[in-house]
Amino acid sequence: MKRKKKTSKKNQKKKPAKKSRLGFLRGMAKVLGGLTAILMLVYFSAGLFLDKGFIKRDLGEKYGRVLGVTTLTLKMIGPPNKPVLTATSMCQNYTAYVHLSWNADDQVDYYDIDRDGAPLVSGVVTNYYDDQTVAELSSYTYTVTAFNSLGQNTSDPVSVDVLDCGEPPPPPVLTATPVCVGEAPFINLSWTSDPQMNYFDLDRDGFLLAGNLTDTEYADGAVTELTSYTYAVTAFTSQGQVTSNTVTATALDCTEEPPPPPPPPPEDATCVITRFQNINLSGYSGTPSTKERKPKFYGTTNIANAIIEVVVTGETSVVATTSANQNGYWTWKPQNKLNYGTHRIWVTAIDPEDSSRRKTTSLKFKIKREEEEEEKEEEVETPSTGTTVPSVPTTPVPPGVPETPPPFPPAEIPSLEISVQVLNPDNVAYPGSDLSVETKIDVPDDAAGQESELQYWIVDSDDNEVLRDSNKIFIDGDLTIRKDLMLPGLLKPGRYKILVDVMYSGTRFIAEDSFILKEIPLVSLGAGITLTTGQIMRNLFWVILWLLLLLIIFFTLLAIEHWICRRAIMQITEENLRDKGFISRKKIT
Amino acid sequence: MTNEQIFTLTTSSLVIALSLAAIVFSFGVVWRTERELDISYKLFLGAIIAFTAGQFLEMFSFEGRDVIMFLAPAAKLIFAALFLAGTLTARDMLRKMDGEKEERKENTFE
Repeated sequence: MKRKKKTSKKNQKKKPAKKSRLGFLRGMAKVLGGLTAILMLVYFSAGLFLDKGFIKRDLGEKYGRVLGVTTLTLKMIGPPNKPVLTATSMCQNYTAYVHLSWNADDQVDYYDIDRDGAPLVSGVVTNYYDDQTVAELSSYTYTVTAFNSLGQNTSDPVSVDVLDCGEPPPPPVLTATPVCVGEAPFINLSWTSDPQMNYFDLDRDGFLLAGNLTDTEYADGAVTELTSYTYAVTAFTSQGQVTSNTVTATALDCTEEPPPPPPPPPEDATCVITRFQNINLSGYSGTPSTKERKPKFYGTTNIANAIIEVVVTGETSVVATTSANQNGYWTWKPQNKLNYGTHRIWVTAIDPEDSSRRKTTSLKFKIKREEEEEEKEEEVETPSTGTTVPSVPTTPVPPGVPETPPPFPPAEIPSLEISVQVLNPDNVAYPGSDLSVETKIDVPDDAAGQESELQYWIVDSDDNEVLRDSNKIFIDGDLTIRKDLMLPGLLKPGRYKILVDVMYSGTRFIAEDSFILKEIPLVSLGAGITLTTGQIMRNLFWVILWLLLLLIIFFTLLAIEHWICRRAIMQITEENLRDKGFISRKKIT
Repeated sequence: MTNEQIFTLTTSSLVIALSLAAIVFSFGVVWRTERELDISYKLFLGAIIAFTAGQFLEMFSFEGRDVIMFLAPAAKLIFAALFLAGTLTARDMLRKMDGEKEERKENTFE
C-alpha cells in the first residue's frame, strides 16, 4: 500500500508541479500587494496625522526633486564640454600663486589640471584651483581636463607670468603694560609700525579685540583685575599680513581697600561704538558721514558674547540683533540701503546670562549723496592718533554745544519681536541642500493686520550676500513661519549668517542666526566618521588597494565555491534530502 | 578616534564582510539544489544582495543626495520582501514534504 501511494504521488507530481508553482507565485503576489498597500496606508495616514502639508511637500517636492534629478541624469548623453580656462597671477602674504578658474558644468564629475604638459593635480571637484607651487617671475602654461563617465574634454592652454610679490615688512614688536586709571584697571598696548602697514587687528586670547586700528597703541579697558591676558597684533599691508610676538599681561588690582566680605556686584556694563565705516570715533567730534548707504559699525563691550541690539532711526527705522564675540568685539551693517540724511543708531549690549545687565550707547551719523562730498569734506576727519584709552563716543555733539540724546527706545519704533532659528541638526548645512529656518514674529494682540514681505539673506563671514529670498506674509497676530532655503552648490565651507527681515509700520526688523556650511562627505563610515571627495582623492592609492583586495577575495571565494559545485555529484534533490532526513519533519499522522 | 567610533567601524566592516560571505555561500547552495529549495535559496540570495546594496548605499546617503536617500530604504524593503518570500517558499516545500497539502486534497476528493 505504501509503495503504491508513493508511486502514485510521484506520477501525480509532474503535472501539478507547474500548477502549484503558478499558484504559489499568485499567492506571493497577493501577499506582497497586500503588504505594500498596508505600508502605503500607514505611511500616508501617519504623514497626514503629523503634518497636514505632508502630501504637497512629500510628493510634490521630495519625489518631484527625485524625478528632476533623474531627468538631469538622463540628459547627460556625451562627454563634458570644453572648459574655458582663465589663469591669473596673484600675491597673498608676499607669496605668489596662480589662480585658475573655469566655467562650472553640472555634467562634469571632476577635473585634472596639467602644468607645462605634466600633471599638476587630479580629482578637483570645484571650478577653481590655486597653484601655490610657482616660482616668482616664471612663466607657466596650464590646461584643465573635464571628466565624466562618458568621456573627457581638455581646455585650450593658457599661459601666465608669475608676479614678483616683494619682501614682507618686519613684524610689529608688541609690548603690554598694566596700568590703573583711577580705580579701573587697563592694559596699555603699543607696537612698532612700518610704512607698508595700513592697519592692525589686535587679538586677545586668540579672539579679535579690536579691528582696523590705524594707531600703534590701544588701551584695553575690558579687563578684570588680577586676570592674565595674551595679546598679539596683526599688521595688514597691501600684499598680505604679518603677526607680532605674543605678550601676556595681568591686569592690576586698582582698588585701594580690600573688597567687603560679600562679593562685589558685577562690573558695570560698557558699550562703545569705536568705528563708523573708515572713521575712527576715538576722540572724534562732529557728525561722522559717509556716502556708503550700507555703512559698517564696529564696537566693543566688556560683556563676553553679548547680545547686541541695534536700532537705527531715520525715514525708515531699523531694529536688528547681532552678537559680540568672546572679547566683546562686534560689527554690524544693514542689509538694505539706508536713506540719505541724518540718522541715529542706538546700540545696546545685553548680558546673555543676565538681561538686566545692559548698556546703551548712541551715535548720530549722516549718509550723504555723491554731490555732498566736497562741501562736507571737513566732516570726514582723519582718525586721531595717540589715544590710549578709548573714549565712549556716545552722542557726538557739535563742538561747544552740548546735545542731549533723545530718549531710548525711540517713540516711533512699533512693538514687534522677531527671531530666527536654524532648524538643521547642529546648525550644519551642506552645499546644494536645504537650510531650514523658523521665524517667529510676535506682535501685540491689538495690532492692526498688515501685509508685508519677509526677506531672507544668507551672508558669509565678510558680510557678502550669497543668497536672497522672500515671501509675502500677512501680520495679524503671532506668526511662526518655516522656510527651506536651497543653498547654492558651489558655496565654500565656513560660517554663514541667515538674516531675516520684515517691514512693519515703517520700521525694518531684522533677526539673525548663524550656521556652519560643511562640504558634503562622499562616504560615511558611521559614528560621524566621514570622507570627503578631496580626502579620498588624496588617498586614492589606499582606497583602490583596499577595494581591489575586497573584490579579489570576494571573487576568489565565489570561484572556489563554483568549482566545488561543478565537481559535486549533484544529488541534493528534495527527495534525497527527505529520504536522508535532512528536511523532512516527522510526518503528521 | 573614540571607542564608539572604533566599535561602529568594526561592526560596519564585519556586517559587510559577513554579507559578502553570505552571498558567496548562498550562490553555492543555489548551484547545488533544484526546484523549490533552489527557488527559496535564490530568494534568500536576492535578499542578502539587496541588504548588502542597502548597506553600501547608506554609506553614500547624505542630505542633498535625494536619489540615494530614496534608494537605501527601498533596498531594505526589497531585502525584507525577498526574505519573506524565501521563507514562505521553504515553508511551502516542507509542508509538501510532510504531506500536509496532498493529504488535504485527498480528503477533499474523498
